[in-house]
Amino acid sequence: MNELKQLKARKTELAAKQVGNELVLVPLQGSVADLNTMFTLNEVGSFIWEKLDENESVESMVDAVVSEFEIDRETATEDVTSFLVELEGFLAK
Amino acid sequence: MGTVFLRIADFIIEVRQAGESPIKLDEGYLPFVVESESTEPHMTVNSFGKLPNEPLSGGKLLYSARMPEGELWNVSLCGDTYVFNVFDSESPGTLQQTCTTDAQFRNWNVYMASSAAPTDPIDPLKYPLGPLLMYYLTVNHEAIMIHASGISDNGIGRIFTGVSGKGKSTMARIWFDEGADVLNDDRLIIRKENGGYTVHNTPMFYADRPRTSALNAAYIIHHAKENGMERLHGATAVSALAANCIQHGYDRRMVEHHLHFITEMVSAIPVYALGFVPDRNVVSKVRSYDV
Repeated sequence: MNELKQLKARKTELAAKQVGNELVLVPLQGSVADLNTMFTLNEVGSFIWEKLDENESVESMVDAVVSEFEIDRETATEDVTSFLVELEGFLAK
Repeated sequence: MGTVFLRIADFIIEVRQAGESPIKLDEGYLPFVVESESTEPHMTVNSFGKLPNEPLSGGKLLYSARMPEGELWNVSLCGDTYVFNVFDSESPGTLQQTCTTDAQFRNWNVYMASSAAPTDPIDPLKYPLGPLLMYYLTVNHEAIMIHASGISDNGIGRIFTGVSGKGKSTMARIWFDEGADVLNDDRLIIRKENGGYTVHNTPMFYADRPRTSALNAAYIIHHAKENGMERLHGATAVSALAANCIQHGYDRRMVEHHLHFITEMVSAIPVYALGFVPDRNVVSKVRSYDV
């Protein structure tokens, strides 16, 4: 699956700011920020975002989430999948 | 006037007569004029009465600020120089000023596009350039400009922010009626100074004296059927405040500056979502949350 590769390539379209365990993402369209269309990621989402550079497959990302948060594989798979759906929806706006 | 010094939000702006044309600022700026400053100005504006002989063209268009009526200003990058074209807000498409500045936005040359006689007075800060310059003051310092009304309530500084129509001016009027000092009901500069946060008014189209307060709380407001408050934290608070910042973020550096400033501010200043009914009861509601 190449969803993570695609998201990694689009990281430059966003400005990111860590706020505690969360992450605020601001879209930059043609380098113009839209502060009215921000997206916030929770702790797990923030972790996935940070690890996009290191994990090119959903499988390896699920492994990383399982290891980091000590949760079962099924829950981690749900977290990664919902992250992908939400972020792709955000980027498609 | 020849050279003029302005103190806006404790920033010093030197507006220098660089050509034959004397400077005549709009009345909203006059209360901010200060005596000659010995300290290094935070921004210098060299004012010329006419456009340069060599046209400032070419370069890469970075951003165009557009209103429904037309383009308000644009900025291009020509080598290391930023070139701004600013248009008459009352006559869309009519060039009003052309400006050049460096990458730090510290030293500006402002060329008026008018056909006035060389010795006629000019207003180099004529809207919308004045607020634009104030914005560029904030991006190089620990400061932001925000759409908000601000009040000082017996020394407790509060800002009420929201998009147009959410009640910023209404809230300012309610607090004024309850004895608070209103800093401004539209546009404010927030600075991090001496370990705390301060909020300042800026020159408007009408004359008002400079006003400043410590900043103690921020409220994201909206009209509601009953008064209700909820403390916002973390990314939610940052997002809510950032959405109301004045920003021309064609440069990632500026976006990251805003986010960094607001993130630090939210860790020090409580932020609330405030739904309110436009009457005096909201004042006691807000005060009841003071720590």
